Amino acid sequence: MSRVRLQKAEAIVLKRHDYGEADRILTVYTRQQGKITVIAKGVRRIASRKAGHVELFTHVQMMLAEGRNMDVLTQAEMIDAFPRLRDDLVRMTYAYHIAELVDRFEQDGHPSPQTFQLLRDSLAALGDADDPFVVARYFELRYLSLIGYRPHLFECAQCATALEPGGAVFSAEAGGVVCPACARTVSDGLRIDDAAFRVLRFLQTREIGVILHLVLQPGTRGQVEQALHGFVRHHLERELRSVEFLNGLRRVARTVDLAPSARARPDTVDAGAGAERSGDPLSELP
Amino acid sequence: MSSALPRPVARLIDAFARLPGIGPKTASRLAFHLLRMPDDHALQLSEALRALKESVVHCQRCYNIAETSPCEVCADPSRDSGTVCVVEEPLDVIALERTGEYKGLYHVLHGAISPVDGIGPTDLRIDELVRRMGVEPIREIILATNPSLEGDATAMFIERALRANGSEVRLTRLARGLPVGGDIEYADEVTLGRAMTGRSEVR
Repeated sequence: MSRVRLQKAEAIVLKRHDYGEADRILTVYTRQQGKITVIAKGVRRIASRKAGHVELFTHVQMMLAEGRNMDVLTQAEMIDAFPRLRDDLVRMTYAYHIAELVDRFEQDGHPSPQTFQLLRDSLAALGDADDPFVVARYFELRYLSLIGYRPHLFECAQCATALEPGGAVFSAEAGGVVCPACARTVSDGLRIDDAAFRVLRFLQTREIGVILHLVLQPGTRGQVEQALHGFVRHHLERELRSVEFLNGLRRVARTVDLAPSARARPDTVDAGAGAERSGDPLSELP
Repeated sequence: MSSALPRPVARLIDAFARLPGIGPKTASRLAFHLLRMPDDHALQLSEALRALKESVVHCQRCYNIAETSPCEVCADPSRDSGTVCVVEEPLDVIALERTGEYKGLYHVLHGAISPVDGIGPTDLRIDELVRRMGVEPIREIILATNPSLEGDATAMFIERALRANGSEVRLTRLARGLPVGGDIEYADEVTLGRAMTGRSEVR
């Protein structure tokens, strides 16, 4: 009898597509093995025991059997479904966004416990945050640091002189913010104002609990998003589908209110987190 | 394909190889099988293919695939035109028809909202559904999209789109819960939670 090798994996489902009659191929990010693809047999049948446990963005404990090309999912038990992502199209789209980032940047089989933790915490925060936009930008900044593309925000990306607060020029090509002297030499400079610059620095250096109640002015949001999307696009050399989708969604949102109904989002801010709301978290910036 | 093959055979092999799940070997096996088949069987297949492309249309009311527009369901006077069941795919209509429980009309979206595949609300027949609301005497809309992330997002979006147009129609979602032959021990918490919320009186 051949020995079937079984192993445990703690995973987050990034992507899935249908395969064959009733199977699905899942792209998951695991704590133990990094990004891998596994085949989940029979999960499209309505009575499948595994189906509900391996929906997109669930945090799940898996048992995997070694297969010829791909590992085969033999058991699955959900750890967290992040239910508040699922009743809000905008939060869901940001979840797609961070899953797509991980899927695009990661190679198969390169584990990073920090990436796993960041992904997990960010999905949870996307459900809890006042503004999921902030969580998406936080994820981008922290994730880019983890994979070695940390944008320079404290010293010039070109000549390494310390940057003064105030308006700044962000360049994806240079690798972050450049000093006024170097700003003349970059071709893709994006001028960002003091508020946007401070937000970028804040998100890059703070822990996730602090950002849950951060709400940004529309102008600041636009600049922060433009800078980071430009940066991601520069390194991936392609546009993310979730970004295009979000832009389409924003056009529709002019006529259709996409915010979830009050009933669907009970206010469950605990006392500890509520304390953050009183002060402006940006005031204690470096 | 090698030049040793007569061109019509090579063409057919190429055509088969474009189908999902069929590789070059299967494609040549199918082509050679057809070559050896009695003429009338092979011609029946060709006739069926031609008819598929020539006489299948989208019903201009429910957007289901049909031979005529309006389709048989929409044209049937015994069906309740006050209820419309919204589904993702034509195959879902067949599944619902098999139950024999439903006597209303349908609306086929042809997909579900999915950012990963780049399918947004404007790629589906949602505007057409909103338009139907204005001209048909609809009392209830049953959202029968799949109980998946994409299906739920689509249902959510349709609700918003209808409300944004001032519609007060009754909106319902198919019940979700435990499947027949299922096992509570293996149910995920979302399914089990919903089964608990949506529990019904024992009759």
